[in-house]
Amino acid sequence: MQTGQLLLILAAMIVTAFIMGRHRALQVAQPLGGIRHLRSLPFYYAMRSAIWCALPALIVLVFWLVFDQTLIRIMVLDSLPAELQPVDGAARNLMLSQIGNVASGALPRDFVDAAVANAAGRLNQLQSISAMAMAVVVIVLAMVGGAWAWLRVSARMPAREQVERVLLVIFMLCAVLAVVTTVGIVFSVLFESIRFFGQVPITDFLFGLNWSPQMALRADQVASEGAFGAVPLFAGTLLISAIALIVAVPVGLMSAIYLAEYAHSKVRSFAKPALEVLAGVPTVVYGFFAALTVAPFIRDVGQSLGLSVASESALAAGLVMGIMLIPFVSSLSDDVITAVPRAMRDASLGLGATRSETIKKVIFPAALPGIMGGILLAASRAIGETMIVVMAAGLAANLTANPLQAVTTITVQIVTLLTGDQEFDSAKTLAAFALGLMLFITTLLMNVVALHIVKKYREQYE
Amino acid sequence: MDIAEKMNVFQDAVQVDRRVVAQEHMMTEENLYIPEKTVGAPFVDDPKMRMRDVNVFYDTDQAIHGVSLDIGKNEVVALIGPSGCGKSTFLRCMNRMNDTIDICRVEGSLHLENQDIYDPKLDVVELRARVGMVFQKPNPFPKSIYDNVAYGPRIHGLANRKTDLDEIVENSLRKAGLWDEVKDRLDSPGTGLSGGQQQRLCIARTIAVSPEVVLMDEPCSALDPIATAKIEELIRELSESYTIAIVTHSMQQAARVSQRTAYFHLGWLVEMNDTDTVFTKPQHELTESYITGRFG
Repeated sequence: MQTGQLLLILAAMIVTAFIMGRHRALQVAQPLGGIRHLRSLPFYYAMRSAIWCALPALIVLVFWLVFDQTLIRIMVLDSLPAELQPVDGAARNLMLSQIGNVASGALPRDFVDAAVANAAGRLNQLQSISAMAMAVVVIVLAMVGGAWAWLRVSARMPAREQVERVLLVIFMLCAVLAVVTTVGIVFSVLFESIRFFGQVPITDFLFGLNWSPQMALRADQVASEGAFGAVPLFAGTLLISAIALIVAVPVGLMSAIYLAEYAHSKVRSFAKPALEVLAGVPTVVYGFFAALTVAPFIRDVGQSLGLSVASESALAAGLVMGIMLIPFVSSLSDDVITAVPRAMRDASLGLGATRSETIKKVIFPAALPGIMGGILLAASRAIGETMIVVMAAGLAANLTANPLQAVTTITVQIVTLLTGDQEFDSAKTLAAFALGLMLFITTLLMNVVALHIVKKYREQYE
Repeated sequence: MDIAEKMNVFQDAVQVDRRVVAQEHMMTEENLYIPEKTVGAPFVDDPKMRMRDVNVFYDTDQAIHGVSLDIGKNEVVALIGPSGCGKSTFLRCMNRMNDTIDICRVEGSLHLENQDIYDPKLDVVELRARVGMVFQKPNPFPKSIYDNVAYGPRIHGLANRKTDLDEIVENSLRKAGLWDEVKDRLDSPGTGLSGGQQQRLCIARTIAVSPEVVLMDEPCSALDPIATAKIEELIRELSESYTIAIVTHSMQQAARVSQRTAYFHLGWLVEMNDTDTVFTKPQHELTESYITGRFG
């Protein structure tokens, strides 16, 4: 039986358990004179039955799916005669894939050793046994669980408390999952970076002014040594992000102030969703807009002014990225500005303050945390943005503060380092992890700084 | 037809209209009705604020129906009436706070001395500096106590030097009876004070811009009895230098602090007279019913 079918059957059983649990609770309640004599509402008895039916079966199912392949592999390999036993990990994998291919019919049986063909037969046999056994065990568990819960329904049973306890555990597991994933990513990046710093000194990476990660793939290949000075990348990232924020923050903030404080409600109901559509445009669309429209335009304008402008410039990428970020700033700021209580506005206006004084002196400080949040979100997006930069700012790692030249960013280099066929233990690919670590540290620092700013300047209203 | 005739025709029309509305709102079991004209003495000689035939609409709903009354110099006028009778709306007309509500429309003539409050050429900023307002819920800014009081003087440029500003802040806090309680912690946030202190801070903030009239919209409704007593004491003191209009739900409060009282009902001004007269010899049944607690 396929796992999909099994899940469907299980779902049907859970629904049945729910309905029967509810029915049973109503039945129990009837002689007592209505459901108010039950300790919990019938819904909770039903939920409890469903949980008893689902949880043990699902837990067994998950463990089975995780471990059965490993067990089967070990058993198949053990069945091989001693002279065919693989000696190391690589040979083991090769043997396993050979057996697997024979078993699935991709490789004819007479093409391989008889012992291997036998092992393939054993593999098929074991797999079908495992699938059958799994189906039987899971369904029986579900039935037993559901029946147990059904039998235990009584007026005095604290069904609600039990259901809530299970839900609490599920909520907690979800939260733990998110945290564990983050920690896992951080550590994997950290360890790979440490490997990289074993090959390239950390000082070269952090303070080197030259980035050209081409390395010889083979010993006899003619290629440059590879230079891993990340400063041009940091500079390029900062330059483009700065241009983007210079565009996005004022425009976004002012449009938020207009929408929240001055715009008629009709204008607002139309303009706000329209602005938010900007956030939904895929960045690759912005990218070719930047590369095909904005960058040539900037180049032409520059040339007519007698400036030398690269056809891929930091300015083009930054400007378009700024447009992309406007809705992040404006939408979040608008929400927090609107959330400042009316009493604050009334107090200020009642003292004879103009609208603009009210906004500057009362609303803005009160809304500061949210506005900072919006700007921070925009900044992290700017630093992490890849597509626009790939298309509009080029790949050349120039160390320059001139926005009219081509620059490159950390994210773009990660992409170029990791696309195509790569050796995953060369300094070139490991450099991507080091860059990733730098990105992570940068955003973390930004968060800390922003939090500090907010704490210092925030005016907390009740 | 000259203007006087036109006015007569218009007023007849308005009165017919009033009768219709009055009958709609007639309280059948009490057989109480709203009078065609405000009873009592709504007008005084040489008033500080003069309101005539004020109508206020929220979209199409009329919240105030042809209210005319005067507020005399340095007197405390109490506006009382059941919830939703329009007393707060009327109060907010007097410094044009209703401007901030898009759907609100005000008709009629409202004057502060000789200044037409609804003159399109009038600077609202200046008006609100002359007619200050204290709100129902204490609403100090989330700034320091000092900055709260200094807010108005700063935006109106009342102080050239820091020492001037310090003086204004101290005087305002003294007048609001808060100085002794907060003089050592002017830098701590105003929101950290107790409810009664916050409301006195709001009063200090209002009088810091030296208004001529102070409007108070149920200033004690969120306060405990002791804080209320302090504010009432303060209102009596302030009436020596300011003209005060106070909306209140508490008839005892109206009786304690005001010289004249206006009774509003469903958007109409039913009766206005000396506070003593209103509370001891009300002329209209509605007023009597309200102050004797039959509804409200």
